[in-house]
Amino acid sequence: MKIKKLSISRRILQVLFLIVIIYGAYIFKGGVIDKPNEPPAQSEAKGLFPALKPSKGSLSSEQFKKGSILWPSGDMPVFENYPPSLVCRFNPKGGLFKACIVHLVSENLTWRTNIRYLLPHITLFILLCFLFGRMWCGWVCPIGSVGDFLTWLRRKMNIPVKRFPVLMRKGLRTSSYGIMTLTFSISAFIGIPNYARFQCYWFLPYCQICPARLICPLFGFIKPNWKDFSTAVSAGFTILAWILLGLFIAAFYWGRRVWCHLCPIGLMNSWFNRGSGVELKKDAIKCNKCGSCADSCPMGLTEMYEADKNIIYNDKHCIMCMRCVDVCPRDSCLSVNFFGKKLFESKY
Amino acid sequence: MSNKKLKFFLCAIIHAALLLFFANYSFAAQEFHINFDYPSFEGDFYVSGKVSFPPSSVRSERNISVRVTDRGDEISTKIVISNTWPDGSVQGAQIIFAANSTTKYSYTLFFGEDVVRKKSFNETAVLPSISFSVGGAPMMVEQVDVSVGQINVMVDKSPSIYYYWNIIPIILLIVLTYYRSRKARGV
Repeated sequence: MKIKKLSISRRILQVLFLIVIIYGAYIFKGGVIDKPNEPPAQSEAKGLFPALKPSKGSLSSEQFKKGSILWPSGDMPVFENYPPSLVCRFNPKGGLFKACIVHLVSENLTWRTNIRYLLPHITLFILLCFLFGRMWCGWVCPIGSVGDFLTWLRRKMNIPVKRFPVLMRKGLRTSSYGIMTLTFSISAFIGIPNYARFQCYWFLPYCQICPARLICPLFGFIKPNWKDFSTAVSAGFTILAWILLGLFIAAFYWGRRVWCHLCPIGLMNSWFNRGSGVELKKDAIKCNKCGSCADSCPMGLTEMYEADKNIIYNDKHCIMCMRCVDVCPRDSCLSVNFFGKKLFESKY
Repeated sequence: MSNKKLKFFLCAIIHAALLLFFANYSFAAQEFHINFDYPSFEGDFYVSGKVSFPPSSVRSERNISVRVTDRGDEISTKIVISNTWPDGSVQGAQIIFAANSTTKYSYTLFFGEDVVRKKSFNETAVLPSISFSVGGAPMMVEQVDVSVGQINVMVDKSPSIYYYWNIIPIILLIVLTYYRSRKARGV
């Protein structure tokens, strides 16, 4: 039996990243005390991980059952206003740094943060995309990891996976562009002072329906705000969020990584995929067209299999999971390069 | 029911059960640590700062309270609402409370509809005042009221263009990405 080293490494890293993303703030900020004379903050004093249940005398879920889910920047600078969070602002107490570019752009379109506060974050985002392309989606994204867990569950239950039709892939990508455009348009519109009255209902429109908003807080044992029927708009967003969460879960029983085709974060990462440092290379002479790469691709891509000439295959849909390299039975047919330097290659 | 449908149904039940399990054992809390530097002098002083709240989360100043972090005791606060959201909820409020430089407690701000402030004060004594920030925010304004003494003010003299140096690596990275993508197509 062939040992899939890359896939095993990926699984381990996914779990590690999930822990760091969700609990990073507790791990890495735990020992930091800003001022020697100042008593440590409550979260720092508690240790590495959050308490699973509220301690005696502290605020309980009874007092905060309607805990606010969207914390706007108001009239203060965005990035200094709350502890930075990796992936999602709805993580408990934040993670290490921001990675959700959709949230970042939406929020700052609405609350007009000075561009100089945003530039370092944009630089970091572009740098990571330039170095690793969509590796974020395949190796790091916690929602992707949850999806892979669902896929694993589906496989254990012997539910067969469906081949991803090209037309549907294109349709989902178009929808993804639609969602992104709509999100940013609404965010920019309500940022106009004359229409600021809509902010309290329409702010962060994508965040309000994103499955991550409902899933991420659960890792921190925090109840997400899963129902809000106070106004017609809130009720609409709540129902949409339920539908998308249902689709997110159901989609993993239909195919693999279906959500990744719709995700606007993945979409923005994909713009840099083709020119990123991580390259998937195919040596066409060594290929015997067995189809293993196409069968194993979680995004349902077949272009690598179909290519008849040597290519650097950094398709915008490819999440760089490198399963194709792992499963390829031909020596050196597929390889993973980093700025031209070979890191891994397929082996019999 | 076919075998496949049954499996799908079972999967859905497992997921629902997992979600309910997490939701049942979960708890929420909205709190922010109040950051400020204790002054060098000994005695009482006021700590004040402006805090922004999300829409619909704080209906009135009664939904905001400050507690001593370690003990959980609420302390008296003076809260002045500066602006509100279109739905009438509090958007920004000035929060003032008294602290003592010898005890050096840390304080936490709690807010939400279910928070009920019990201790308040309106009249302020003539005391020095310093500003605070919440969460991970840096102190935006450093203010110390002293009757006699010397105040050293540090001014950032760097030109505003200095803050925009990130544009250079951004452009560079975009150009490099474009170049590499063109090159990859040519293989």
